[in-house]
Amino acid sequence: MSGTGNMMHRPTDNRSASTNRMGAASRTSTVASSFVVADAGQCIGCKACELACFAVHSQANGIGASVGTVSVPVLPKVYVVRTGEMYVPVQCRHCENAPCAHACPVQAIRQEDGVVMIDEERCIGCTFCVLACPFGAIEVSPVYRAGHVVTQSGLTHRANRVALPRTAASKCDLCAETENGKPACVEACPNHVLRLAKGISDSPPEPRREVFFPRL
Amino acid sequence: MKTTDCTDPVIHIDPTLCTGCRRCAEVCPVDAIEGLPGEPQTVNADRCVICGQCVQICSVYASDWAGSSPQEGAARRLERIQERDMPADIREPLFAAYYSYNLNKVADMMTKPGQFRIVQCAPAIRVSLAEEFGMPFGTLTPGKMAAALRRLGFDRVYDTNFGADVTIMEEGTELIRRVTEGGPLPMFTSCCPAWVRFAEIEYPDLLDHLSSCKSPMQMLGALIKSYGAQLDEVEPANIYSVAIMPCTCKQFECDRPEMESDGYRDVDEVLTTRELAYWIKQRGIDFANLPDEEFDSPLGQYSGAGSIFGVTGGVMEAAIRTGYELLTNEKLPKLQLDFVRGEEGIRVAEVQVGKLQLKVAVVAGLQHAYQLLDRVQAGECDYHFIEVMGCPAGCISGGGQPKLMLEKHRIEAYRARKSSIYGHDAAHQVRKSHENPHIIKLYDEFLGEPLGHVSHHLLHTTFQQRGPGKQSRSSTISTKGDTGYSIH
Repeated sequence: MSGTGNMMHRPTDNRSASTNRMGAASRTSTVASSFVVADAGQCIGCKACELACFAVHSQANGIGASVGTVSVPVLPKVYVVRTGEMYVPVQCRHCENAPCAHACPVQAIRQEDGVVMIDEERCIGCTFCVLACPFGAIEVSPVYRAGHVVTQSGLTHRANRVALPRTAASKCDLCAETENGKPACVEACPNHVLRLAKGISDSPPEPRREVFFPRL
Repeated sequence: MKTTDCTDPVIHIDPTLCTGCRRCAEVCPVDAIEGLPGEPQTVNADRCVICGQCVQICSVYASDWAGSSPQEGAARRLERIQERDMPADIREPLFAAYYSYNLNKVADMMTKPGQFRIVQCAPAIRVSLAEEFGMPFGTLTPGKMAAALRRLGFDRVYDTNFGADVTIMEEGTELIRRVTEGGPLPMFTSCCPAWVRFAEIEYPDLLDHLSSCKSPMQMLGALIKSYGAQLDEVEPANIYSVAIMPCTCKQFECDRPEMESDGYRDVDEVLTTRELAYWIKQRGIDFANLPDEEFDSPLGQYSGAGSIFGVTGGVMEAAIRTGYELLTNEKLPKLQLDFVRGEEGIRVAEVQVGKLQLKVAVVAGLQHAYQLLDRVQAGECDYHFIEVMGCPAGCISGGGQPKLMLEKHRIEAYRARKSSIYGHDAAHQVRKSHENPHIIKLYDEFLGEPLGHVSHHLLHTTFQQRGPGKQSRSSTISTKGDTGYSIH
């Protein structure tokens, strides 16, 4: 495993051993969260948000502005879902006291300034967070670097003994680490269906106890 | 989907992918995209002008993870690639709207022995091809493009810009003749196949207003199999002539039955910018590190005027540079004609050319053509010369150009490509078509004179009615101020 994550570009040595031992309550913030919300009635299902999301999060794979530079599968962090006659983009709500963070057995999910982030380097692809998420906003998918799939050492296909890809959880990070820091999906939506709902907190709320998925 | 005059509808929408968002219908200038919102759309091939703007805007792609397993997803992707006749090893996402691909056919033909393989490249390719390899918008790469085409196996790498210079000689002379001798005015350019098809479908009664000139691609194609064949001492029948174009309609143009001379097709096959990029990648050519190579002579040597054909207003500017000097026998005082440059859908100007007050208009985007053509039909349009390009910024924004993932990049990309083309023109020593020494030699040695017998036979064509007349929408237009302009 080498390189930096699609989403996370922080050096891994920023995390101390004591951080690793922190409980989920310490890793989830009391800052009111912002999140991208969609007006389902107005979505036309064009998937421009998905494409924009993928485009701005794919620098590690050398993907430029043109579709011709894409050499990996399109793996966005927002998903346009069809329900009956309607479409709606679904993505992370950056929950306060985030259940995904509570569920993560390796502390790969943490909340920073109201943004729930997944550290792809640390993620083991166990899908606990997928199960915990009440919005279905997290996907576990293969990890690509420099246009090639990263393989998981020691994990091989039973029949042909070919190394299997390393997988990691992925979800909306509010484009927190992209150039202008504005959610690309909001900018790209031709119908202005998506908007950034900003969390505003006048006074810090009371510290919370762990209530979801208590650690065993 | 029925079609009466086009055996291959060229533009397709995959019903298994299309979500019915109808963004393609919004950009279609002729209302050729049909269907209800939320349901898969279809292309009315009889109405479609094949500009490819729908392909450019479509953002609905096939998810690799839509199947029940990664293996199923990969198998479905391969099926789609085969259905579309795309190169098997293509890695980019597959979108709902796409056009017919010719690369596999061309690659097969290139292996056929006994052929003399010739390629020509449109002006707008050299400012956009590099984007397919991750380079910045508008990177100018004529030298790398020529080098790449040689490595792909072409014996001669010629340039459509030379054909553009020939077009100016022919079209400029035709305009002067119409103005002085009284021909149908206004005269329209005929370089853009989508515009020609649009006129044939929507305004067939105005076809005699179109210049009889073939497009630069077809002109160069005809010259390659005549003049070029003589110079290279090869049989025209053994020449395999390919054109790299930014346009999805050029294949339709090349397939028109009238586009042949002495029994030989002017151009045998057309590839888009994106297809050339697929090919370069498929062959493992390191495009970014290729050395700069020259185009072959004489049919690859062009003036600055030839190179600006790739942007809206370019044909007009090139025509005025030559027409002014031919009419007045005086040097044009300023070569950069800012009054035809711009981004508006319609630009109009009056140019003092000697004693003639030449009234010109430039149209970019076919949705802007309706109102102007209605005025021509009503006999209320007193312009002399009108350039029409089907795509919003001219060929630099063609349907076959690199497809952008972020809509916000579109204007940025178009501006960079345009600026690059104008920079290319400014860097040329020869910036007027009639001063291109290879053009002078072509007329001295082979064509004789513009609109002469040989030119008429090789370089001019006819148009045909393809529809009952206007059926599509009209749109309101805004024009850049009708400012009188004098070159002096």
